[in-house]
Amino acid sequence: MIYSEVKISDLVEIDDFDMMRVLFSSGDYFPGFYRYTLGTQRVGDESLSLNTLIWMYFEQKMTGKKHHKELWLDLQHEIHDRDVASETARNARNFPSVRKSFSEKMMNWYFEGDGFDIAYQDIYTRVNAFESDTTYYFMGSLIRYENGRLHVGYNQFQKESALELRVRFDQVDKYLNEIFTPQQIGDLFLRAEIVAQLKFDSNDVGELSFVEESLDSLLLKNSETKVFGAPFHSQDLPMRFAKSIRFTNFKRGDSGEFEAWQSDQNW
Amino acid sequence: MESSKLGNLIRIGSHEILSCTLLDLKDDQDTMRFLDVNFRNAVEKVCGILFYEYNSELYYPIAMEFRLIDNNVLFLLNELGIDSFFELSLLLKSSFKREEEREVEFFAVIKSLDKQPRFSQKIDKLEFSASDKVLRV
Repeated sequence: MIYSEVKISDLVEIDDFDMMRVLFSSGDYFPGFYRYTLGTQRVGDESLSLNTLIWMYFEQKMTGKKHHKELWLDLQHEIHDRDVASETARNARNFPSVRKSFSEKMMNWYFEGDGFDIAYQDIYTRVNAFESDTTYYFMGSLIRYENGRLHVGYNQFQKESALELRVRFDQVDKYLNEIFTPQQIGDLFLRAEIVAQLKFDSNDVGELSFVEESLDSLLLKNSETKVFGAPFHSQDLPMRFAKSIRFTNFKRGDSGEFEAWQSDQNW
Repeated sequence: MESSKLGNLIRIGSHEILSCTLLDLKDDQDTMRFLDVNFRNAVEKVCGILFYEYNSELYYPIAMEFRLIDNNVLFLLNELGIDSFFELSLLLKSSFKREEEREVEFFAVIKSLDKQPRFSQKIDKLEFSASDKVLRV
């Protein structure tokens, strides 16, 4: 056991450099409570891929076809029911009153909003080093170094972040190499970026938007790369993607148009 | 070896992954004592949550949101809308029981400040009751 002492007054006065060091010191193979991690979460064919999302966007542009919120979030409802709401043996270890309350609040959080920022998280391209002008998923946050600042909770789509730290890149690079092995950097950092938005209208029909200039490079990514959502209203959270929302996968039906995957379907 | 005045909140010169748990405050009412250990090996029975108070508003240090992995306070309070420390404690206790099969009691430390703290987020609403363990300093 190691014990340490920290004066609250020192924490209150924390500067940008030390804040950067605290942030990266949180890197851990355990994701933390109330956070999901791709490292331990099985993400299969039932979950929407970046490639399909892009083709659904093209279909929306060409034909105007859009999908209802219930379809987009059908998979998330299933996951929510399995992990939080249902009375499985594991969930039963929760206090019953807490499980019910938490389940309702969690569902309201992801379902009541008017849309999602959508990020891909690339588990196929191993990160060998933290580079500037590149966005990474790290402990539930999207982090990017750009123009002399470390952006935390970075939203590429809106060019905004929840927190900006004025630190030099060489300081970030040196610190990361001090506390992480190359193996740990590869394990704890994933290439990721917010690339699209899904906004629901008053009838809960979702409209997709992308940054058009990004589409060519996104289509070159591994077709199995999955996408995840964070509600618009969570923009101020520094770890916005800790509770990544999963979207239902879609596939082309007999008509050639995209249809939502159903759990009883065999793909 | 270089050391940090922020203890193991800042890891220095080691690849060993340690999480931090706030155990208590020392008699000076300013020094927090942390247990720093791999989360899977942790055995502590208490866990503190630090808030700042400025101008009658509560703030949560973003450093703690990242560094204390046994909770996720900003998400639970500002996103899920939990608005009492009792409910927050109950939820966290329940999670420890569910995930780690461990009984843990939670307490709050509220540090009063005369200026708005940097790197912190205002808590939308959080009420404390007489039964909550709260250290105001």
